Amino acid sequence: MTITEKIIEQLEGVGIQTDFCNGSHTLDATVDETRVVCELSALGSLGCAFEHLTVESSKLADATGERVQEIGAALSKQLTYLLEPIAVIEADAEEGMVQLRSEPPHRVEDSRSYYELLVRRGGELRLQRFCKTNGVARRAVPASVTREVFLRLVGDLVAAVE
Amino acid sequence: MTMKIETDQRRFRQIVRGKIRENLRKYIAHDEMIGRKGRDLVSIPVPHLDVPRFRYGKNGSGGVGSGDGEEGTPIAGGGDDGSGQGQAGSDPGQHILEVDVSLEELAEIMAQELELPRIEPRGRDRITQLKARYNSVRRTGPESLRHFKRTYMQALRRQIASNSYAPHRPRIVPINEDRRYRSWQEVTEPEAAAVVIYMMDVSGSMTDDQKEIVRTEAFWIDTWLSNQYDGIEVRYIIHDAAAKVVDEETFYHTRESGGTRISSAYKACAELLAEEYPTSDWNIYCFQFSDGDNWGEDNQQSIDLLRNTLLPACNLFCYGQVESPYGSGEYIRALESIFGTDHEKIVLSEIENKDAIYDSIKLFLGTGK
Repeated sequence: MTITEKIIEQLEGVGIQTDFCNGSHTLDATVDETRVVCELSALGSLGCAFEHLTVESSKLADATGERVQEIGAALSKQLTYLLEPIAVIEADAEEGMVQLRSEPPHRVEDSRSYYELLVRRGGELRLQRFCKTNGVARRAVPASVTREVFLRLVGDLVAAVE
Repeated sequence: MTMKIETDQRRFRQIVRGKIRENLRKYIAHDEMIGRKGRDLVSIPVPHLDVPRFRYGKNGSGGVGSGDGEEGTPIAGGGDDGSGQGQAGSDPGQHILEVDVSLEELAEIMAQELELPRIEPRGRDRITQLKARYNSVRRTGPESLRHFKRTYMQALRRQIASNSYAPHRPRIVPINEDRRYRSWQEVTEPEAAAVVIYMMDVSGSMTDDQKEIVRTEAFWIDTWLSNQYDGIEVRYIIHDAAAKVVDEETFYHTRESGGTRISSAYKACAELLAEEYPTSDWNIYCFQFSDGDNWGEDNQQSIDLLRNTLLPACNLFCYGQVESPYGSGEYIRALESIFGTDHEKIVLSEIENKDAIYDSIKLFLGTGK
């Protein structure tokens, strides 16, 4: 059973929940050295909203800065189906960390929304959506996607660390 | 006696100064309007300045006191009855005049408009330096220092005294004894040495627009501080995850793609101060610009370096947070939470866009430190 199939199974087990009683529901699936953790804030028949989607893999434990940058560059080409395209904004080869963000971010009056995907050496990819309003600290907001996009996203993030 | 043209010129300068003051916010926000002319002059386009000029009539079309006209007949003008081609333009006419202003004068205008207090150097006046002041006149000296006006005045005085001056045919011929030369005296003056250190985040999230804001703000800060200190030194540090001391050209035209570690710039700045600018001899001004998107765990290290190393050394530490396409970062909030908003040495400013530069400069330089 692949990780994506395990996630599908867990989603079916949850059923349709527009609001989880404790605020969120965590999906957690592991296959071999790769683990997917996702905190869902809503789940419908067509789509879901997640606070974060994280892929952890020991395969990246010893990755060089260049390898991490390659993964970032590959993901920026692969993830073309989100609300905005994402691109590598900052890459720190020494620390082995790459930051990708929506390019450009979505802007409505004095607020901006954007995806942020961090790829870290040591083996973590973490995707979140943020909203920044002038004069207020930025905050993570749920990222809404269809079920189809969500599963594709899981598959692409897992494939990136393979 | 002041000549008429000097009075007119003085009046003209006053009008120009008034116009520059009136439009200062615009010049600051759009510094591309200001052209540098050498080291000490800038050229500024002053709009809507009506310069008096002669208006000529048409030759042979009559005029006052000539021709066969009766009293009350309109003069000049007439004659062209044909239908002209083309239409009047719909845009307002342009009356742009470029005027040259010295940086010193520009600094004074800025100080008046922004109500900037004069800077009080920090306890460095025990350092003195001998300076030459050309404030006297002698009978001997090198020809390069000949004082022509004094020489001719002396010749005139001699000719009047010897009754050889003819007012109807005023010819003044200086002789050797009339020659006067500028001379200097050495005076001891307190010297206040100052260094300005600019630090800029050039990480991937800093766009060209943001760097343009930094460049503009730095130009006006330089203009003011140079006016306040003789021979001010300016140093530049750029950083992403690592920092380095660079020259001016590199400072404004480098874009890196690395992550943001503000602490790296603070370390480089502390090292530079320790090696070249001992705090006992220098007035130190630090201006840091970033989008504030410091990578998570670096905030604490940055704040520790700032508090323990840089602040004790500086007269003033100014942090300008320039808004990126992703909004203004969180670093300024971290500084506010630690140092508050009315710290004696730290000034924080959020620069949303070019129009905010004016208020940011006022905030930075309004402390008079």
